[in-house]
Amino acid sequence: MESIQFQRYITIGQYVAGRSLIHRLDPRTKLSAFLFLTLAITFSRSYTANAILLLVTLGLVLAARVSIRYLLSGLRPALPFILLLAIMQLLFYGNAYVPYRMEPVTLWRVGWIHVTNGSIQAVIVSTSRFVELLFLTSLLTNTTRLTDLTHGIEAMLRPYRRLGLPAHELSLVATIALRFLPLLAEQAENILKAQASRGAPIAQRGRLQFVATARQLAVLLVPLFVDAFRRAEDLILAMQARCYAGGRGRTCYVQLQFDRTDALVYGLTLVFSAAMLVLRNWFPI
Amino acid sequence: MLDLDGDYAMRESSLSVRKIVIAGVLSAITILLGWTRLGFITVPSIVADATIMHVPVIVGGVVEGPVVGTIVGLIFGVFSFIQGTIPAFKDVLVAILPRLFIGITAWLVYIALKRVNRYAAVVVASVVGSLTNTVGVLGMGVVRGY
Repeated sequence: MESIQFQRYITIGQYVAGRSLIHRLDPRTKLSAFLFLTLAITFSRSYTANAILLLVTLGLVLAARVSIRYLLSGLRPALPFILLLAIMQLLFYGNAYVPYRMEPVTLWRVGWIHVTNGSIQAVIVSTSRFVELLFLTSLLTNTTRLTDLTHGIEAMLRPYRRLGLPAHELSLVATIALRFLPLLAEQAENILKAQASRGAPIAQRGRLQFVATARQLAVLLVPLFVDAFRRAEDLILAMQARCYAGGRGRTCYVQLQFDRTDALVYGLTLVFSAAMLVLRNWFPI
Repeated sequence: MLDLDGDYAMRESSLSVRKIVIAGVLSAITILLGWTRLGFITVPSIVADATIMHVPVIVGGVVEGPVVGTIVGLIFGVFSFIQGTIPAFKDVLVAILPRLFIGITAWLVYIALKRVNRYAAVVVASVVGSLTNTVGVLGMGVVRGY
């Protein structure tokens, strides 16, 4: 029964209350900085660039006073997969990777096993990129409330409204999704419990029983979709009855404040990420 | 039931109340499936599991059109990027980009085949949508070198 108590695990966002500088930044600043740094990380491919980016993200985590152990705890269930992928990359794909700014050298070759400096670099760079992005995404969701995030996204998309992008509507979609999440989790839990009480098999999903698992899921999914659509119809009716008219002319109760610290952080991350992108082929190794 | 179709109040906006709400609810199902790991079917492979998280995206595309399909796909992609614990999914180009097209291809197939047979159209649209996800993600994974 433990495995079907979903509500307890819906901890999306996982905001960790705090008063650090990063907690107090404007959500728009955090989102932009997050975007800039994500781009810089996605396109980094040398040892030096990744070392610099790793130091910067670590610095940010320390500045936010979020415990690193807490951040890494999300990684634990996936660790075996990551290690296995890294070992496969290292041993069997020696020819697939051309090392960055180095002559390709075969270091070890026995039968199928083929280790080159290219595959070593691929493993180290993709692992460190992964850790950097994990820190960065957790940092964003750990230091920003969900409502702040949706307000931030709406504010940032507002300039594109002239091009026909519905900023307010998109952020409303996100808000509805997050609001419905616990409701639907409760519903899924009820469906599963009702089925279990009538003798349906639950849990114990073996790796080889994927057909049975898929069948079981269909029995859960169909009522879940029907219920979701029924709730959606209710909400649509309620919104139309109140003459909801979209984002035009709508004002906000909470006004976002973009102050000098925000401008400084915004500028610094922008310049840093742009430099990392422009100079990505200039690093020595 | 009272039917208020037409959305008189929203004429200047591209998204009707109906589309906003359906997109939000379907996104919630996607996130729920991912968060509770209900949406993953463990298969005999060590590196990955089969997923059904793209199903709400296809439903959105078929029921409400390409805009809703793309929005739900975007939320699916962003969520798998944030939650991803496999290095390939910590890459924007792998996690988000292919997911935007699931709803669009499913919708295109559906409207193309709707006249022939509605039920067949839904089935083929679902298959094409699923294939868009699989081929897109694995293809981008290969292109990006994972």
